[in-house]
Amino acid sequence: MYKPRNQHPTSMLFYSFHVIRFVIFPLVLSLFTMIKREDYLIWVGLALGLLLIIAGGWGILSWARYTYQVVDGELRVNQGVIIRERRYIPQERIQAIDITENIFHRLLGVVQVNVETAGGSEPEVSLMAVKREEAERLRKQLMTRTKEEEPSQETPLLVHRLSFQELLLAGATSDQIGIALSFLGIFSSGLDRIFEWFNPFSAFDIPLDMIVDHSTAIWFAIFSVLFLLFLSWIIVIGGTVFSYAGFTIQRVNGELLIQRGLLERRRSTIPLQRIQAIRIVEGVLRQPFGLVSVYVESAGYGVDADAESTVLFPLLKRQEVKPFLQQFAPEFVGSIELKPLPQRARRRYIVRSCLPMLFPILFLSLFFFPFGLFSLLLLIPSYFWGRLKYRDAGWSEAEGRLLMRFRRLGRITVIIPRRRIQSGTVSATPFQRRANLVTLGVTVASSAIFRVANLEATTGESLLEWIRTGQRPLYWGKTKESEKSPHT
Amino acid sequence: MRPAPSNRIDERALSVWRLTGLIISMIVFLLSIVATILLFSWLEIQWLLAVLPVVLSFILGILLTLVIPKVRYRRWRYQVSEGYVDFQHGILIIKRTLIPMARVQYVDTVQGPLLRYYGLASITISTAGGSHEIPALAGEVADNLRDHIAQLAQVADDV
Repeated sequence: MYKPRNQHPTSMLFYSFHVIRFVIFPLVLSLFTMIKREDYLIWVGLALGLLLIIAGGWGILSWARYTYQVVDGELRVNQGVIIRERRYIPQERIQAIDITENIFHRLLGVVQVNVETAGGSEPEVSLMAVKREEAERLRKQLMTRTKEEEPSQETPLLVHRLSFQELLLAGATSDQIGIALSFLGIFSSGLDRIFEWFNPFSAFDIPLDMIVDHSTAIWFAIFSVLFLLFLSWIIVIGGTVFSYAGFTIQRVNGELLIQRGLLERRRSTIPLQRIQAIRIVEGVLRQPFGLVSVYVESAGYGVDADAESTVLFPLLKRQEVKPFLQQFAPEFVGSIELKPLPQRARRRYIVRSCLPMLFPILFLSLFFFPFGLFSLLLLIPSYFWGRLKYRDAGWSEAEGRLLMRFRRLGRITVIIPRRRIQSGTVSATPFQRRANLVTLGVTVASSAIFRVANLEATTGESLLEWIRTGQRPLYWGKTKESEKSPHT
Repeated sequence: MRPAPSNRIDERALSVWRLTGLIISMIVFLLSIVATILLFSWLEIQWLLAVLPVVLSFILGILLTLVIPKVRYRRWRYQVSEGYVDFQHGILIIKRTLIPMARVQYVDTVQGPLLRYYGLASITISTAGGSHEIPALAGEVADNLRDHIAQLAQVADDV
């Protein structure tokens, strides 16, 4: 059981594939430059043959060199074809274990195992292909310590599944529609050119203007915008289905098991005591319907990790959040009542929101003089956006947890236990100093930093005090009572 | 409100920052002279506009060598006590940061060529959430402080 093991032999294919993927583009490009030569086919054959031999050889060597074992509570990996490397990872440093399978893994009946520790954003150990049972065995072996730390606490198996309706709803209300739309927009402006170049009516020698009168053109424009919107909506729903289909979260003793994905299936294991913070996000399209998604900040996945890998549950009703956390992350349950920011902060939020607009307004007004002035209308939505940001922002401290709420695009509420806070910062710009306001920033071990702007200066100070001592200063949240501080 | 942290960084930091500022602004100044010559003789732009880069880089030079180091030095405060590292810095935006000792992962002292010439060193404090720097302490002070923080961090871990 403790002998060094090799991965499943099919991992050779994955290693070879990596090599091929790495060189295929420059290779094809260089072959294209020779396309005029007579002996072209020979060269192609030679290149492909050589590529196959190198890739195959690399695959075999990588597989042969790669061994892993679990000894004395350590995962030990020996690897490397040219540079040999040994890597020892103590069990208690492991933050998360992911088991993923893409379509090729599924054809071959194997899975990929990624082991994450706190450092860096890349997985520290990545087994390309092992049998599913072997992956499960490894996972159990590396995660057993959680039982020791939580003795005799036999929690019943808790499961929560994303239904198919919820899956579609999650896709339909996803913020990513903006991204899809902008991509399609760029793409379709390209189509425009093609249409110009290849005018189907030109065969009949009729200019476009003759066929299309003004109102039809306008209708056509409206229709195509709607069509683009609809298309990006469908794309986003499709994407959501692909990545979140069959989303299931289970709590087994001290750890969370998360499964998801249609073609590429992924199973992540996150020990409960490795969760640094919980993030509740109400996207712009979700908030009106009272829907939220819940994310986890874990030291295993750095800030660069794709947003999907940190999803605890993609779609919940707002009132479901509390029971959900009670089941799956009880450390984070508590009142979500927030204290608002001082009235003076509102102006700062509005100014902050309007200021970036001045640039395009100035530009448009100067260069398109009379009509460009209409761009001043941009200030109206910015004004209301600033007000909204002010209204949404807030903070509170209860039972050793810090709550912060702020709006980026969606409204984000973060729950951070005090003992998970890596550092706290208050900062103030000259404008903030004049209004006696500060920005609070808190970092956690996932390297994420959360900020709430324009708190009362004394509130900021007392929150730093609270981070330091865990004591509530007497002047909590009030103004100008700094003398009462118990710690000065 | 808690008073600002008590310790200042070494006064020689001023010289280091001034020197760095001077080097940077010299380079920028030289580049801007080249730009002005090009603008004037090649693109035949009015000389009033063409000297703009030189003027701007001169102002930048004054900021970098005279104003900013002074403000930066005056603002920089730090304090290390049993439970936490506390520091305050900033030029326009004043930042006050607090790191609980139990979260400190490791402490480094770093010495670039300029710092070494002046017998200074800076301290980098790393947590799992990122790292923070206290710049320009006297070499001995930096070494002692590094060991001190490491020791305190270890004690805090044991608790």
